[in-house]
Amino acid sequence: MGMVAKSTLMKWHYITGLILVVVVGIHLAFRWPSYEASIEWAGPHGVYEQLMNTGYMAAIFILLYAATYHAMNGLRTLLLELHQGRYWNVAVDVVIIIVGVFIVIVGTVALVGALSVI
Amino acid sequence: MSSAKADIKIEIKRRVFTFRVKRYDPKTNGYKWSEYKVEVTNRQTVLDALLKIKATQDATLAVRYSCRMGTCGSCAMVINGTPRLACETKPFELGTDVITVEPLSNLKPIKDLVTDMDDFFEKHKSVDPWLIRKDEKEQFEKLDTYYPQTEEQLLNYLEFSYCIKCGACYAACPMVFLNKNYLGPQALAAAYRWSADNRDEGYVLRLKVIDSDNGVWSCHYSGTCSKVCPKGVDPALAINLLKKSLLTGKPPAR
Repeated sequence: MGMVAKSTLMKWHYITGLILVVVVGIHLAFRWPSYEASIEWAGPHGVYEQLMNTGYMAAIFILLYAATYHAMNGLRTLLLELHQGRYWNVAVDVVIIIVGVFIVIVGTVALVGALSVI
Repeated sequence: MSSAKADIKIEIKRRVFTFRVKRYDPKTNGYKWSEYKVEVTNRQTVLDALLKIKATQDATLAVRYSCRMGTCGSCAMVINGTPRLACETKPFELGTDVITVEPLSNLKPIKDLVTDMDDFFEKHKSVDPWLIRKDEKEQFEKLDTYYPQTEEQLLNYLEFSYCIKCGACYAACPMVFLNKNYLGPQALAAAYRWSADNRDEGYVLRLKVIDSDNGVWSCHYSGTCSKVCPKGVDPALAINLLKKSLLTGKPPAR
């Protein structure tokens, strides 16, 4: 990712980190008051109700994208620190982009699929 | 007055210390430990002791030194596990009877305690550690207003200009150990020192190096560089000030 300044990557790393605190907080808040009830399909706090909540679903989409970026950039940094080499750096970038795009596609398809059920 | 003068006495204590020296042998490409017992006084340094060993016990012991007064940075080595200047470290002040001496870590050894500083200086050079002006001719034309600077502007970078390039911070850095391409604390502190100088206009040029995978972002702020610096420079602070500049998009305070 030589074409992007490292500071740009890190700026987004910190921004997504802060976003994650908020959206993971929202995600956890929806397990309240009963975790069991929150993972049931029906019911007052169940999955159906969560899917119907636009704000919550927006947070979940943001969670998917922010977590993917944050995790992939963190993994890239870690791998580049563990080992060095011209081919290694290119291989890490390629693998990180492929895995990241794959997670985003699978996650988006899963969430859109869930929304299409309701 | 004369009686007061007579009262002044320099107390000389003597003690025998055991020096365990980790020596690199370029022929075998391996290390071995040598032990020497040597008497030193409370006024002498580890460098004095090593030179005494060299003069009286083992002439093959290789040590690099020059000024003997903490200015040149040539005699940096790992003493009792910490990178220090041998000429500024007194055996009496270390608090141990056995003193271990090793070559600086994170640098290729040449012989015994002497390390190859080429990589270190190449990294230093890569940040363009000198005054960069857009107009190179002006220094010959406007001599009456030659790069003015207030005391406040000087204080923005003064601490970082005290670096003597001894390599102690570089040897103490766990990230240099992990990533040999990482510029390291010395080069990055030098980059800050020049970028924070109001007379300099080279900050943008240095970005290519400092804002890279092996630049400031490889620092995880262990702080060991600042802890071992014999001159009281705080490279970790310089690195974090550079990070701040990169994140805010503003050049260092000048």
